[in-house]
Amino acid sequence: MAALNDIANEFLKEEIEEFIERPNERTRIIDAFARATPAMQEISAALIDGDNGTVDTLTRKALDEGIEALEVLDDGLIAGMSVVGIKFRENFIFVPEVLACARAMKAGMAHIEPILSASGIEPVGTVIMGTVKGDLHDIGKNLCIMMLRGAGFVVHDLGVDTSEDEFMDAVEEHEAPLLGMSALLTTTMPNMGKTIDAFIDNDMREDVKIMVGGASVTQEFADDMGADGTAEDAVGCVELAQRLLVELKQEQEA
Amino acid sequence: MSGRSATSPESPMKKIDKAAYQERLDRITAIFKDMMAHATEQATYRCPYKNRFDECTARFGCRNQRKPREAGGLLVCGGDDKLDYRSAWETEEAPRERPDATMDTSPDPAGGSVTDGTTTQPSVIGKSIFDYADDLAVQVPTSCFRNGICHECIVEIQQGMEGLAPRTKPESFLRENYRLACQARVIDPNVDVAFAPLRRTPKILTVTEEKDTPLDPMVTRRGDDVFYDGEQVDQYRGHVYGLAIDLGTTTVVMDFVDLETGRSIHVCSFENPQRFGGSDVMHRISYDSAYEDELWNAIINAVNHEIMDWCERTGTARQEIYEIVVAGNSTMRDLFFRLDVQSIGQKPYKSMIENEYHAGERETTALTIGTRRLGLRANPKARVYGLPLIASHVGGDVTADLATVELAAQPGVSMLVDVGTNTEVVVAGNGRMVTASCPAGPAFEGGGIQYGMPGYEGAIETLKWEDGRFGWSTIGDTAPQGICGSGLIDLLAELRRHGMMSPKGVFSDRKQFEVAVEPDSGITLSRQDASNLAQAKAANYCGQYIVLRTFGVAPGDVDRLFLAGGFANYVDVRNAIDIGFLAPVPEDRIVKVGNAAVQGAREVLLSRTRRQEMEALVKDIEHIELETTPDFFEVFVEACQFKPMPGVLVSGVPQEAFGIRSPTHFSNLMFRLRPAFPNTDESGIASVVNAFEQNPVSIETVREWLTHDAPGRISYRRVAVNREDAVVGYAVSVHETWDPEGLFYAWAGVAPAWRGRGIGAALYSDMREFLKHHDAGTVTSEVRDDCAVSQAFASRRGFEHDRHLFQSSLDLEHFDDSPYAQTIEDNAASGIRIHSLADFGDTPEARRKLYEVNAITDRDVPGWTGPGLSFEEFNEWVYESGWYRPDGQLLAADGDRWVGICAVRLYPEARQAFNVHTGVIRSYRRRRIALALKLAAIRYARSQGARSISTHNDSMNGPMLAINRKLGYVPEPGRYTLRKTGK
Repeated sequence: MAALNDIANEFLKEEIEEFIERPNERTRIIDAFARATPAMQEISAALIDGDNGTVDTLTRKALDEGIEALEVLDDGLIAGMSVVGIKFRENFIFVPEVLACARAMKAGMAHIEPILSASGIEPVGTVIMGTVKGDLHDIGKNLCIMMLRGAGFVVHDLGVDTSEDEFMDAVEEHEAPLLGMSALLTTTMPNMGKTIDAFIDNDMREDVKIMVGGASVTQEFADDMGADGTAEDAVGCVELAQRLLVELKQEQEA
Repeated sequence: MSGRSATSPESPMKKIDKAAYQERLDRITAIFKDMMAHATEQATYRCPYKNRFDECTARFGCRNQRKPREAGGLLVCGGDDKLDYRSAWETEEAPRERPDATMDTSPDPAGGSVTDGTTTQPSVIGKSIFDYADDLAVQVPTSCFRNGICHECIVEIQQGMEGLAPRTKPESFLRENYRLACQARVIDPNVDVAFAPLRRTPKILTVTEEKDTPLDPMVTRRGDDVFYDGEQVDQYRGHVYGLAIDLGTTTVVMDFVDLETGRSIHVCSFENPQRFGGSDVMHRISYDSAYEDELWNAIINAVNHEIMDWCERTGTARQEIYEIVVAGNSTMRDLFFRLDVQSIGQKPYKSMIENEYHAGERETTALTIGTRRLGLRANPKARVYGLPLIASHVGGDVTADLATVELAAQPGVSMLVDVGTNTEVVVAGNGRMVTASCPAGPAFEGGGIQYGMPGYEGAIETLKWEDGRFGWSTIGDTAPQGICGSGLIDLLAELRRHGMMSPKGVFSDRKQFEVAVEPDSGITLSRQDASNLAQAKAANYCGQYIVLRTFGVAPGDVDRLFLAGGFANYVDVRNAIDIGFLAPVPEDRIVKVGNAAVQGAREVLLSRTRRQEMEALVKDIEHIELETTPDFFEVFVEACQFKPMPGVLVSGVPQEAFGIRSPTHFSNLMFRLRPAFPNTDESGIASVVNAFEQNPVSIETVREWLTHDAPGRISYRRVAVNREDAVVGYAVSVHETWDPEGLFYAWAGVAPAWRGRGIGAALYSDMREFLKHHDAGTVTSEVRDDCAVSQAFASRRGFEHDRHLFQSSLDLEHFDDSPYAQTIEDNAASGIRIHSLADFGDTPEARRKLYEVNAITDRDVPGWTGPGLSFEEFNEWVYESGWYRPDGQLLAADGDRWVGICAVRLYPEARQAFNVHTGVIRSYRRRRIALALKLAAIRYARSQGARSISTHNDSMNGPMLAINRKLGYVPEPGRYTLRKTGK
């Protein structure tokens, strides 16, 4: 069993000291970090700090130096994210901080993607995500993106206040089989239907599966506007995305 | 630049195994899933856009958004984690630059307005009070380009504080309704806001008679050289000027004097801008202890502003001012000189300077210092001279008065009365002088009187009852806006003279709470106003009565009475005598000398001889501490009546005076309210609280109250102190983060020896302001069920009994648990085991499990008002508390499931135990588990040496009462919880 002082990185030591209280977790996390090289510890620290620039630089550097991608994943990114998870659970940090950490993780993952494709590992799928025109709420959408990326999807985030054209351009550009739209307000929800209509008008509806989500979106509403599905939360969003991909494949094969 | 990218051909590309990668993805998903679940649960009460610093990360607007803590920072979330945070969300984009005045300020047509009292502008979100001051052409000083740094732009928000964004960091030194104009911005455009700058200019220019003083100034010119006390300080620039300042608590007068001719060139006056630190010297002293240098800054800035203004208008160079003479009471003067004033606020009320003088460390109580040391704008070599003080609160302003009226040189018996926020009285004759200071408060200068105002344009200055209505005249002959001191004296005298008000300030129609003074403008005088004026008047009366009596003369023996002070010249002497504001000295012997203090300061500025005379004179004046006079209280009670002072001053008091112990009449001199300070007030607060409480609180506990506010708590803690600054009353009001919105707990108590003097009422009404400010809809409190006084106090104020809580206790030395053996067996048989947390293992997991069972059973306690403690709070309150012991946490377990809890707290010193909480989850009720838990608690308490165990009871909790009765708990005196809903 490793001790706190076996970890070289001061930031990590402080984080563990301050935020990890349950003994079993503490042991597990100390062990994990003590095993990791100082370079990996630095990546973890930057990720916990939500510093995507540093994670970006350090991950690229590590891979350039010939460090195994899996080691970067295990000892750098995942190790760091498990600390983030605990801090979040214990209310030391909140959703905005979590999203910053997820963005940092994504910066690291971006350098692993080329290795994946070189290894013949295709992404699970590509998803275009955005909040519809007139709506500025993005937390729910951002949590979905975080989950999707964690599950191996490549996600292109169009942000908030996204027009029909922007959605269509992105689907076309990335040849994305999946589109996710979010709207929180009852006043902006109809824009999801309008976007779906635009896909139909432009003869693009067949090539893409469309998911819709948001606090007031119900299954009935989704059916009504002609979406392919909706989910309650970010976890459901991943399951839905996986299911829709299978459906699309079956349709295309048929 | 090769090898910088993972995709570059040079870099070794090691392949990844697909299965291994998928395993990593699964791990990430597992971590994320937990996080999503937590996010969902958290979103039920906390806005997900709020980060850990309670800042808003949303890109849309929200009504909870508040100004950033620093420029360019994120907007701060003002939400309180209640379920309805979404309702505050707006659909428009968030104003990233809300603090910037250049933001869009399109008026809301349906909204409120902002006014300076004369002109009104529509209310616009984001606009600062300073912007309004510009629009309304109100002068507000500033010297930091409105960045919150100079603290000069203080304004009083007279109405609509709730329509403004909360105080910003630069405003943290301000209290109550004072704000910095540059920081206070409108957040709710539907609220009407009224503001006033602090440094208003009274229209009564206190021009005083210029006496010919033989010219002998400190500053002289010979040819092209200027000398200060013989030392060459400058080349002649065209003028040799000096500045005399009367530094009053309420009003400041500045007189620019030509030192070569002795002529006064320009006189100006303004309100003392230190008002944000309280209206009287006691409040200023306590304010200064909390916010060092703020008061000093305010007055220096104001004086500098006037100097620069005058210099600009007349083309004078500030370097032509070579000396500044300041006449002020002890507190005002020492604050100006940036000295510590704390000792003036406490018995024996001696300033640092006076103490040094008595200790032989200084020759005189006068002060001299370079103007540069105080940051005053004058010649760099100029000096400031502070006139010597006489004793305790009787300061250099009275010394200046004495210089003006030359009391010592008068034949026979002469008397000086300088009326103001602090009134000073001096009686002289036969080479003897006696003085006293009376803390009258600002009532006659408009403070605390609904339609009272200082002597500005529009103030009613004279009043007369004619033909069934009041005839009046205003300063400047403009429309009446309020009543100034001379008008108030006329009004009180006329009301008495025509039988419309009793000597005790009760209007002839006893149900009437106010009298109309000027119906067209709605100006009235209320009973509360009359009561406040009675107290202020009583202070004046007491000072004159006691000083005359000590000197050994009656009012009729006074050969000359000099009446000085801001509004003295406008006072109708007969009216003042009729209501007992002035001693009944024959009218023809009364001389009004106006603002004698500034005149005295000017004389001292012009004459070194006068300066030396005054320094010598003050050393021989006898000083009386009014409240140490044995019959002071009786005199004061008598003085509160609106009737003339008797011509013969006796010791003791006429019998009839005892009839009027109306509680509101004593406050001003007997006590005052101030914030509770740690390290000073703990023992006082503890003794007030313990006079009511069955379980005494320790000084440490009180210190904890005063120093550690739980996160998010909104609290009010103030004390009433007597003249010795000892705590005689305490009031507290708290809203915890877990309380439902608008619910506040409130408690107020007064030390037994001090009851019946209106202290409780004063604390309560002060606390109500706090409650109102926070929109308290429901106030809960509690009183002992055996304390009729408290119950009556509360019920008069509209509190209703809610529940009856009492404690009952069990004598453990005689308790026999054998009859209950069966219960324990029953439980064992049904698979319920009872163990302590220590038995189960005091692990973090177990602690959380205990928290959960506690939370579930807590919710079933009758009267529970949720949402209850979070784990973090529980952790802090229980696990991290000093009393927590795992063996005192008894749990009922059904297999792995915990179904009941009984927590025991020990008081080892008292050999007592307390059963904090007992609860069993619903599906396990009626199985005698609670009884078994209570028995375990009893055994545990006994094993720890406790002689008795107590528990709280609630009239609403029938089943628990039955168990306790069964076990033999004996009810003790308890308490009623009280509830008051609405205003």
